[in-house]
Amino acid sequence: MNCMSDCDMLLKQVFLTSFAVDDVVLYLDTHPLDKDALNYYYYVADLREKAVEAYQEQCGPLMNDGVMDENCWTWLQDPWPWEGVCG
Amino acid sequence: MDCYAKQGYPDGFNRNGTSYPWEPAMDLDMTMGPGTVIRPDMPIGSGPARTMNPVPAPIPMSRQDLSAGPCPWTPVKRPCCTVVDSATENCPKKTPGNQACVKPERCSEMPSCVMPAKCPEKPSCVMPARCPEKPSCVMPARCPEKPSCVMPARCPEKPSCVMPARCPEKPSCVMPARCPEKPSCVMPARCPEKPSCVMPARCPEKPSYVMPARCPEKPSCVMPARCPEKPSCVMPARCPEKPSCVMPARCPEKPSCVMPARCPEKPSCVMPARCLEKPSCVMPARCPEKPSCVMPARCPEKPSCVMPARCPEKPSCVMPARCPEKPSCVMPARCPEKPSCVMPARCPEKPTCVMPAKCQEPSFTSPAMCPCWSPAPNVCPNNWIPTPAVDAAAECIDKYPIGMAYVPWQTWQQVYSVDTALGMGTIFPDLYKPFTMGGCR
Repeated sequence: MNCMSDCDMLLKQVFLTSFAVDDVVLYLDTHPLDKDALNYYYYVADLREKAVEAYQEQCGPLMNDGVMDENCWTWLQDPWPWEGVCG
Repeated sequence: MDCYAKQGYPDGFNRNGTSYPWEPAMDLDMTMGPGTVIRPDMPIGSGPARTMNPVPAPIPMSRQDLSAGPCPWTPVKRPCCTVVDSATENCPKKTPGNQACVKPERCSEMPSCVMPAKCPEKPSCVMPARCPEKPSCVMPARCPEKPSCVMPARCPEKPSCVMPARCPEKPSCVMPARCPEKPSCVMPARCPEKPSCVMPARCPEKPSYVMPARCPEKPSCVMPARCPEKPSCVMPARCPEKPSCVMPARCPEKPSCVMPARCPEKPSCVMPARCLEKPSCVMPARCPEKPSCVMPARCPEKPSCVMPARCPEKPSCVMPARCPEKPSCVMPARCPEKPSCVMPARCPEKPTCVMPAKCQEPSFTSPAMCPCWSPAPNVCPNNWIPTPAVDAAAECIDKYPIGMAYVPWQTWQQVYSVDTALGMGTIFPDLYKPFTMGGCR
């Protein structure tokens, strides 16, 4: 299941970067002027954006605004959780 | 001509040498004079004379000559129904043997005016007149002094009970009785079922509007209406401008004190009184046990929310709310300009000391920190090494006032890598606090 493992790995990257973004955002809420924290936020936010883009290109949209196909609403084509993972 | 007009002719009072029949009965000696002039248009000497001597024997009334007309001492003889001419005065209850039927007599000055009939059993009792259109309708008696004044009808069962007068336009409308001493005073009507119950007066313009009863001692004082279900319950008066608005009741001991109105759903719930100047402003209610204690007002949107009390000296100053669990604890006040901003709490020992507070404004000065405390360096989660800075912080803790909780201020440090942060549960090594059995690191 190469397709599944690739999507799982890409999705895991999305999870990792998203967690880092969430944690630094909590810190910035109480330290809005901290330059180091701000720099780290932009760094992990960029990583997350790239991870999401990589996942959406190969495995389909993560959110409905991630649909890239201009001819088809691919949001419906992904396997739903109760439909298995191998398309 | 009445008997007085016969007194004292200019050429003497005797006519043809004979005295009038009533003169001996009145013991009058009309030969003497002058006396008090009874009538100004009569010549002097026509007044009452002195008593005759010797006093003649009185003449019985039955033998007196009544051809000259009724005299003051002669009782008015009322004709019976059967003797009255049926063409002119037709009695609706005319029966041949109905001697007891008393028809109302006509007023000599106003024949169209029907004088109240006299009760055959109690001549002094004025019976209410009957309406010509509706004989069953009892018309209120007319006041002899002021014919325009409608006297309240008497209850046939209890003559002493004053029945409310009926409105001529709306017979079903009960008009309040008039006070006999002060006709301008509107007396509350009596409830027909419970005479002791004072019914509120009806507004003449709006019969459906219940006017509050007037206090007999202070007519200007508006008495609250009585609740029909609970007479002992004093209902708040209605605002004349807004009948739906419940006005606070007056304290019976201190009329100037405005008592909070009672909630109609929960009588035990004290509703805050309304401010006279600003009806939209909710005044704090008075505590019934401690009138000097100002109870916090209730928020109209959230009745369970206790609004901070107002300082009596500075109404604009919002006093901090009291903690319901610890009344001695003063909860931080809210900034009037920024309700979301929590103003620093005041130290109970040193009111001038401002404890560090949270503020959303970035320009707000960070709270004070202990000069001995410094951020810890990068700490390995597996090999925690105490640093002098951490030890120094423990020593500086003695300088902080007791009885307060402190949260050390976090500073930026070297964070975990992205691959390991999720597994650690945090990106900050200082916040890596795994739970271990028997204690925490």
